[in-house]
Amino acid sequence: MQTAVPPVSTPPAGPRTTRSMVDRVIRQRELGVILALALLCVYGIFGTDGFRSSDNLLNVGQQASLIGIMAVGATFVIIAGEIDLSVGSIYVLVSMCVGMLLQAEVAWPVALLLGLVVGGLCGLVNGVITVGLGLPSFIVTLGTLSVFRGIALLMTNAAPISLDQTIPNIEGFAYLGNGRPFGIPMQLILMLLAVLVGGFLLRFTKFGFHTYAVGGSREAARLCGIATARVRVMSFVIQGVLAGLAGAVGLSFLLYVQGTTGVGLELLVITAVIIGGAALFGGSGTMLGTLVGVLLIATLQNVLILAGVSSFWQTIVIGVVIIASVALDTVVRRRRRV
Amino acid sequence: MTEDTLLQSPLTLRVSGLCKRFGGVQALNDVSLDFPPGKITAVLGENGAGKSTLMTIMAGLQRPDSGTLTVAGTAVSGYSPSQMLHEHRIALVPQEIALCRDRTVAENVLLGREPGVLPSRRRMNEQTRALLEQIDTPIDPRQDAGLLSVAEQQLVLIARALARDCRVLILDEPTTSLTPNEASRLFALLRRLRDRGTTILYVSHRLPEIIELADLVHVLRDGRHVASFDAAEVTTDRLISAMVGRELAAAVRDDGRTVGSPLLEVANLSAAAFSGVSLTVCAGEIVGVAGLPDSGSNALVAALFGAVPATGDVRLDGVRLRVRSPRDAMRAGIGYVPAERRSQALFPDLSVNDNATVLDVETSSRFGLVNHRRLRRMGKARLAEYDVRGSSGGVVTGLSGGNQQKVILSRWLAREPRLLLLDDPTRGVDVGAKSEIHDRLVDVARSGAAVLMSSSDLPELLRVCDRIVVLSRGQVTGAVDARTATEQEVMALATRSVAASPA
Repeated sequence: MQTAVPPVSTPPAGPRTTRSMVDRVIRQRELGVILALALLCVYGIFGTDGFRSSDNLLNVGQQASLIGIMAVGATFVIIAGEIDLSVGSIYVLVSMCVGMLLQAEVAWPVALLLGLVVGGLCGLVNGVITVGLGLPSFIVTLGTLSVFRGIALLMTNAAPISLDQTIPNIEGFAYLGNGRPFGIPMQLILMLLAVLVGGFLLRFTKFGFHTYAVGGSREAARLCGIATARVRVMSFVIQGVLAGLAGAVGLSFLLYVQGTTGVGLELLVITAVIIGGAALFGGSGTMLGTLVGVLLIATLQNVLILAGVSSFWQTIVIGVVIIASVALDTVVRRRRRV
Repeated sequence: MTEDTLLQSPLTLRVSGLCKRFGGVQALNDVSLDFPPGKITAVLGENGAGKSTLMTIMAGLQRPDSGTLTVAGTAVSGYSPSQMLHEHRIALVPQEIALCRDRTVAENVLLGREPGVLPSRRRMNEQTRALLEQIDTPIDPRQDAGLLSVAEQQLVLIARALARDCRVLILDEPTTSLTPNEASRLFALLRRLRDRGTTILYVSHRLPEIIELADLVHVLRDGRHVASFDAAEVTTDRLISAMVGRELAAAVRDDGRTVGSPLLEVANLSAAAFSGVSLTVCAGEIVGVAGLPDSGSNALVAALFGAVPATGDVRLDGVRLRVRSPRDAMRAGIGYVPAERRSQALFPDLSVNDNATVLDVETSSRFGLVNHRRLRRMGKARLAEYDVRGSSGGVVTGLSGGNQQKVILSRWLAREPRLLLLDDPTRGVDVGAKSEIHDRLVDVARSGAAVLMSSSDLPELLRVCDRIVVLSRGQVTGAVDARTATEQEVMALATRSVAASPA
């Protein structure tokens, strides 16, 4: 009986399609950040010396890498409507674990793998406490932020770990952080890999779809039979593994780690994801956005340095950028709702 | 009378020509009412009749579009809660009581009226104890307010009103979460306050208690004042007629459905909001669950879907179900359209298409990979079939309420559930979409499934359902044939107190 009604949802050909395409482009959350990044690059190229040299650009990429790897994990957590403040502590804990294993002359791939397992377990702890006890993840991970770092300090008795050249096959491990296949920093490659795999998971898998659904409305997801607990815990585990990977790569880069390594990283990680357009309360965000957010922060720092701005000002500018980008997004969204 | 220090002069409260509009809804339309001093005046009406709007205006929470509120002969000029409270001495005891839970009873009672600059705790406790004694309430003023029962919290609010010498007390559905005993104690207190000259406004839709308590009853319907009665002379039936108004023409139904054998059999189901509920829904049958908002009717429907924990015997096609979560229910072939569309059904960040096909992600995935093309195709077909206006890739929150609800319905109907549960399926839905949704429900039943729906819209239940089971305070008080029943009959069952009825 409804067959007589033309399907209204398929837009008629002609100008409307163009308009809806323009609409869709404008609606892309990433657009604003991409524009900002482009402007910044234009300024870098014409306003400073040395920005456009390939060495410098690769440096920017490398600086972005560790934050980027962790931000991929944070994208899952934030889209699922949670937050993980403990990433910096997972980072240092895994760094220490891997460092000790290497000092004990464990083969580096095994040490790396065990490190990732430790990271995953940290995430599991965060997820299980949050979901199992029904606590806000902000509180739980604020606690584990302290606990995980404490464990790292206990393990090493607060002594820094320095990996020297006498450890067999240490060059293999050091390649993770310092290698340059085809002239591209290995760190950057690892980050792009994380972004690609993360983006794939988010966009094309059932788990990804459920992550958006749970973050958008946990109650609606529950009433649609989605295993909300599993999705939430899983997002923490992914974050833990990736924070661990970043920790291992960081260790590989410097071959040195100490108790204060990775303090405050959580702020940069969350900042990158939020600048990338994810909603702090879950339900939206993309991996592309996160990548652009990470690059924006790294580029901003780089350009400010090249322009000779003092590092104190850099801190201020980054703070302003966070607020401005979220404010812009909020204003745009408010308008869209009406 | 000599002990009366609270009220110096009788006070007449009057509203005249009050109008208030919310978007497209005329919540109050030229309402003029008197609330005489020393009387308990009840304001009665169905959901959406304008009771709450009237009350919130009198408490200064809202400003009328036009019309005046006159207190003791002076027209009120500024509408704010503090002005109403301090200048006109009008206090509201809201349905959802908000006390500062971590503060003591005394701090709550004297909130904003603490004696002196540095109030001494001892003096505050003494003052509060005196106030509580006036209303015969032996609560320790030093206790944390959060530890009190709802009934005690109400008394604390009444004491707070006394602490400000309030001359008008407005109570909004105060008995909703009280036991019968607590309710009768509250009534005794209200009568005593009335005899001291306090003007009392009592908002409720529970007819027996209104007849028992009130002196005067104003009835509102669709934002208008339709009748006033002397409570001593009125009957429940007359109040219901005034409340409901129209006599509904019996809908002609000839939809070619045949009602089969029992499909859903519920025996002795209990949960927090209801107890001992038994009912049967046959294949091809549409059964309604009617009841006032606190009757447990929505919780019953949610419990059958596993969304609310419950115990009892539930059988589908003769097989006993163990439904502990929505997932279990879905596996058994049950679908559920919840009442709170925005918070319980919609994914505001997902597209219209994703919202329509969210339940098909599971079946459209292989090795964890979602076949998005297939979902898009399915979604498009579905949206066309349900005539949902709007772009399928657009944000779902951009759709009208009716279109949103059709998206949600399409999501469930595509699974061809054996049992479809719905809670207020047409709340906030326009008339056109409403009748489309009703047609869909009939189609579902015709295909041999069972439909169980609760609704706050009584005419809807009478129009769509075959049978209506009526709940009052969590217990089944009766069932009626929807083809022949009237709104009055259903309302009489819905307002019947279980204790009084012969089991």
